[in-house]
Formats: sequence, C-alpha cells, structure tokens
Amino acid sequence: MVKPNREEAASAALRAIHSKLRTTQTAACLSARRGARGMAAGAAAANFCRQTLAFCRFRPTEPGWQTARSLARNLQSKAYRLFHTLTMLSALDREFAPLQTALDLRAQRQQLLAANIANADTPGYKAVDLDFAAAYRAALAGQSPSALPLKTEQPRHLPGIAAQPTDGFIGYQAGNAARLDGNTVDMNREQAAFQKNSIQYEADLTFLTGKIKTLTSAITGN
Amino acid sequence: MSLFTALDVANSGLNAQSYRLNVVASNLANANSAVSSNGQPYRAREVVFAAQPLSGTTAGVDGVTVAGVVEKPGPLKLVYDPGNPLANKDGYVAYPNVNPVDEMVNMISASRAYQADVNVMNTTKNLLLKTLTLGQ
Repeated sequence: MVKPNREEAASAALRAIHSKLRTTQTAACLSARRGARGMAAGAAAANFCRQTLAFCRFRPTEPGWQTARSLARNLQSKAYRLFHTLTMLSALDREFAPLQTALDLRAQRQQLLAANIANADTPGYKAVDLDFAAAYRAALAGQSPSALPLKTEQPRHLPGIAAQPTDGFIGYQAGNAARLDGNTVDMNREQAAFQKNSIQYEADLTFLTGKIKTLTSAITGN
Repeated sequence: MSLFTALDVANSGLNAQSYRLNVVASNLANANSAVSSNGQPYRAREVVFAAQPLSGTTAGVDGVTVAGVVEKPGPLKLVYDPGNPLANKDGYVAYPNVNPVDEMVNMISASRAYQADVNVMNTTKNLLLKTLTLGQ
C-alpha cells in the first residue's frame, strides 16, 4: 500500500525536476546575453537536483527512486554544465563590455556628426553633438538613460524612459557663431571631430581585436 | 547597425547638394533668357534646405531635404535694345536677375559640401568594413 504512494511521489519529483530544468533552459536562452539571471537559474536547478539526490540516498533499493536518482544525476550534470557555460559567457561579456559600449557610442556620435555635415547649409539648423564621456560613464554604470526622469506620484504612473540610451546626452554645440540664417555648423570643427571620432572608433576596434586574439591564443594554446 | 544611418544621412546630403548644383546650372544657362515658359523673363532660383529626421534613428540625427525652390526677388536687368522684339515701349528688354558671381560662389559652396558628404560616406564605409573584420 505504501509503495505506490512512493512511486507517485517519485514521479512527482521527476516531473518537478523536468519542469524546473525546462524553466532553467528557457531562462538561460532568454538571458544568455545578460548572464546573471541565467546563471542564477542554472545554479538553482543544480541545487534542486542535489537536494533530490540527497533525498534519494535514503531509499537506494527501491526501483522508482533508483530511476529518479539516475535522472536527477543526469539533469544535475546538465545544469552544472549550463551554469559553467553561462559563467564563462558572462566573464566574456564583462571582458568586452567597455569596448562594446565605446563602439556603440562612437557609432552614434558618427551619425550626429554626419548629420551636422549634411546640414551645413540648412537655414536654422543647430549643430548637435554627443557628450561621449558622460554617456560612456552612464552606460558602464548601467544608469537610467533618462537625464530628466519623470516625477511619479502614483505607483501606476508610467516612468519616463528615453527611447535611446544616449538621448539624455545629446545636445546642441555651444560656442559656435551662428550665421545670418541661424545655422551654427562650423564645417572645420565638424570635419575635425568627424575624423577624430573615426580614428577613435578604429582604435576601439583594434583594442577589441587584440582582446579577442589574446583570448583565442589562450584557448588554442599557440 | 547604427553606422548605416550615417550613410543615409550623407546620402541625403548628396541628393540635396546635387539638386542645388542643378539649380545653379539652370541659373547660369538661363542668364540671358529674356523669356521663360511662363512668358515672363527667367528669374534666378534658389533651393531652400530643411533638416528632416530620418525614420528609426536617434533623436538629433537629421538628414537634409530640399524644402522648395524659390525665385530670387531682386529687380530684373533692363538693357536698352530697341531692335529686340521683346523690348518695351521705351526700348528696354528685361533680362534675368542672375548674378554670375553669386552663382559661382553658390556652385563652389555646393561642390565643397558635396565633397564633404562623399568624405563622410567613404570614412563610414571604411569603418564598417573594418568592423566586418573584427577579431581577425
């Protein structure tokens, strides 16, 4: 009379392990880039499997629990493998994050400077620029993108979020003499800034390539 | 990939500047057209540029577009030529208000801006190509 109950419990435990692992895998796929959450899910699954194994140890002879045990062991090794992969991925992310952010911001600034050059003869156009240093610091610190956060008084009010992470750091250039038609583009300054930004973009690319080469040589060992 | 937007922006600049060059060419070609398609003397024309946000880009990234072509308001040149069939009763013929010096300056300015846009395109293209070889 007791045995069927235990088998039911064992199959329930197996189902729980299965669903837990499936959740883990989904979470890992979804957050493979973000690393931390996938890692937490992998670690939780591994932990769960370990507990199941410890629980199974008290009933080593009964066939239902033997199945549960072997499955749990199998799933545990999978969960550990997932955990380690994600740990490595997030380490890679950390390694590349500063240069990746810098490249993104340089590309953004390139757009703005291109827009200034294209609009050099547009009446009333005001030259724009990106405050690279501030945007870079904020992006690395993972700060809220909005420079002017909306004040909310009720929990159901929507927070104001900038459409782009750099929106708060784009502003009009100061100190340029405005022409009679209201245009403030200084072509020499724009050309210089554009070339400088291009070289800095290339420098970031070179550094990133260097990092990738270092890692590759560490992996392949030659 | 946001660098492609820089190409779009430069492209809008190229279009606008070539429009401007076309208008300059039209003005110079018609510097002596005492009559145009509307029966009146040809009037010098000028393009008006306007900044236009490109779709799906960051705020602040504006392309340029030709908002319109306007006729210059200055007085027409009156030349005394009583033998001309277009002469008025005092013997004067109205010639276009095209100032060749203005047009040449406009043309040089347009071609310099065009070159700057081409430069932007080339630089951006090189950056994109370098990005493709990242890690090699």
